[in-house]
Amino acid sequence: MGETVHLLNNPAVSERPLSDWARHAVAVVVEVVGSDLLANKLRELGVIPGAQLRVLHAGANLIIQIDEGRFAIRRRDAAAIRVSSPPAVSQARLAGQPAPAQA
Amino acid sequence: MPSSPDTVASVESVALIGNPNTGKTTLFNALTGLSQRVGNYPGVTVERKTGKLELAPGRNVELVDLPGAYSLAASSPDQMIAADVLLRQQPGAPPIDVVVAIVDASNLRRNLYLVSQLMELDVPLVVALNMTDIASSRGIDIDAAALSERLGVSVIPMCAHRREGMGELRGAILDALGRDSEQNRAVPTFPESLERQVEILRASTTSAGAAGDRPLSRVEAFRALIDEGGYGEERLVAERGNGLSKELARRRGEVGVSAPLSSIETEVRYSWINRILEGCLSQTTGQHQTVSDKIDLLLTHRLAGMVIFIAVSAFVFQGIYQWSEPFLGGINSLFSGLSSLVTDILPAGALRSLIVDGIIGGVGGVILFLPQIAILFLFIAVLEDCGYMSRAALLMDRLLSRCGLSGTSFIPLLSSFACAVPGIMAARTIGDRRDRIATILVAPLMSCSARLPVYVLFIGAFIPDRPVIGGWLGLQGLTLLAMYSVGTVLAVPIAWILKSTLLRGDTPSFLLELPSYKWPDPATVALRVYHSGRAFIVRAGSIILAATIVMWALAYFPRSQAVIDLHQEARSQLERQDLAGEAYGDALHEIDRAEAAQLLESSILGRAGHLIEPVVKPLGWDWRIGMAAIASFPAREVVISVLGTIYSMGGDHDETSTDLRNALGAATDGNGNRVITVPVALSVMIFFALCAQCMSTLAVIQRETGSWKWAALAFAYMTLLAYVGALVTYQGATFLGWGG
Repeated sequence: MGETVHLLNNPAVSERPLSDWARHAVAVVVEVVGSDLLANKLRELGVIPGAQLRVLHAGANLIIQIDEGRFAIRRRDAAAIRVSSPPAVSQARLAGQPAPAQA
Repeated sequence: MPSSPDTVASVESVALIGNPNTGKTTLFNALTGLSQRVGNYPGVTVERKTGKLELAPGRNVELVDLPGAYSLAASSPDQMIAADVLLRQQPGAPPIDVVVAIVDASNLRRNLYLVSQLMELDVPLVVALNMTDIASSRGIDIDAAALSERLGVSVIPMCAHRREGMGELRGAILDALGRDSEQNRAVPTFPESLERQVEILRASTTSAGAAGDRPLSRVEAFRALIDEGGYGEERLVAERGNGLSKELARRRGEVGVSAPLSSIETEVRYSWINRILEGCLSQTTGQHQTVSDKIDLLLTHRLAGMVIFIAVSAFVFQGIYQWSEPFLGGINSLFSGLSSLVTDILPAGALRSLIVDGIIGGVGGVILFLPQIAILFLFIAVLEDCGYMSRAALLMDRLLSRCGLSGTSFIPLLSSFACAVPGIMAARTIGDRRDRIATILVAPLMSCSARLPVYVLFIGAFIPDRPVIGGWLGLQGLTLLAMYSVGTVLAVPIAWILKSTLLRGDTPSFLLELPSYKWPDPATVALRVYHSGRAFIVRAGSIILAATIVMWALAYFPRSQAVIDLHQEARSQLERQDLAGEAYGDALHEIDRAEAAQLLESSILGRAGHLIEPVVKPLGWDWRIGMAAIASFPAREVVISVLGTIYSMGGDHDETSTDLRNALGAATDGNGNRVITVPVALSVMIFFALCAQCMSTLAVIQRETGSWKWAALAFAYMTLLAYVGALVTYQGATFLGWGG
């Protein structure tokens, strides 16, 4: 959880901690850092590589949407979730194809 | 375990398990109704809920409601209960014959995680696909038949809150009872390297185990290996020694992956889930934003959400005070009527006093809490069932995390302003054990409604009615506010200290599900209120009654015959004087009061008052106040009547009576100095504000924490705090020359 600073300073890496993600944008999970209780709980809930999340509310606490469920998590805890933009969408854009429907 | 319909075996058990917020409680209530029983699992605070389920006329089984869980992985004893019951390891719990997994159709993917773990148990499984109405309103379509075929177990679509699908569910359970666990059920496949280590671990426990050590089942071994640092490992190591700890570490290393083992489990299970659901689940790309999301835009909004939250809290708080009023009046009348009845029937003496003052007084004191408890739990049940509670916790989280607690502590603490007893019971909603205990330990500091009479009495008698801020806040009001604030303000550092020392542990992660808003289910709410009330009456009630009787005995015995004779002589003299009706009545009352006061002084309680006088002197108190303080330890309100007796006013005064106020104000000691001055009054109030003078509260703390040591700690720290607080107040106020 102390790796967030290094990530932010590295522009080459397109992945960021969820705590920095913009509201309403879809994020794809790259990984959940750590094997502590929180990390395990998040994985059990479906926060695994490839899963899509959305940030519904961003304040001291974040409200994130995992599949159809909504969960509140503290901002600093959310830093353990490393995410990036949905690859399918960006690849589709590059190829000039319409974006696939989001499940 | 299969059982043929002909054998009359012991009652079969069906377990109900599922994620939180899947309508499990609604389903349980619908299936068992009033046959529900709530009991205890030894050593944990989670309740054991069971009920009778009628599958067919004459065919009854026991339905066991297991705590809601996202997974069988456990990090605490409370979380371990579900796995223990299912693996037939829970002492006192019968083996489970069928497992009913309730899943939320609108969150199917995540819900199937637990199901994937249940599939690995050797017990027949039925999947209850609940909340189909919500799923279809979100454009989610599930082919239950295809899902059933893929999984290899029965899948019953249903809608518990509309009572749809119940018959089919009963049929499926009945069906499952008649056979072994399904042979062709789908199970996730884990990497060979992992499975091998699980098997080696199993084998090592079978051979190396001490006599009496049960060999581990595959599921147990699997969980112990994967849940590194979890409660399962902790318990096994405690049972079998550190050798197991080393063995586990070795096995984990041998799996040969760099990623945490738990991430392997989750990835395997979710791949399995995705394969199972392919073709069974489709979602039309409808709105992303649900009705609940829209409501949440307002309710979790920083400003608007907070305002609404404060309004809701104020409404709850006010409701508890106001709505319980009519009931309190009724209960009071009932019990005073009962007292009068017994007083008329029985001759004066120890027995009558025991029944009237001890038993009826004690029981009455307990029942008096009931309306407030019922109303509070009604509010809580409604707010929780409709889904608002988690939003409230979210809003308060920021503030409470500064004290080392979390947002889920808010409602218990708020409720404690009305009465700590239901407030502490409400702390059950706090998931983390350490947070729960810390909340329970500071809850009594919230100035409860029983303290109010004390404040009103002393403020009315000693604080002058002087305006402070313009025309709307006077010195009296300010003092009242100060009394309420003292406890609340002190709770912050105390909670912080508790969380840093005795209750130290990793700050638990705050991960809270925000379920969709829904209309509360009346049956669920009603049953919850009933169970809470009943639990209180039975448990706390018995202790309060015992304590009140003990206190009665201390105040009654020994009866000084000399005093009785003296006053009997006075009554005879009165007779001889031949006064007119009212004057006679008053004079007789006077003798009665004087007698009561002197008998009290010579009782054990009175002597105790004298005994502790040197201790309470620095607080500015004399022996009479000390005695009143001791007497009020079972229940604070008693102090009013005790003060009334001490000052020869008789026992039936309340805090607004001017007689008592005047008597307090005028009381003098042997030298003619006023006994109670402003600093003394302030120190008495501060003492009452901070002290744990409530057997009910201590009893409930014991019940909710599972141990008397926490109740003892609460008592000890609060008494100490109260003493120091009163000391500082008295000395400080005297030094500052308050009250002249």
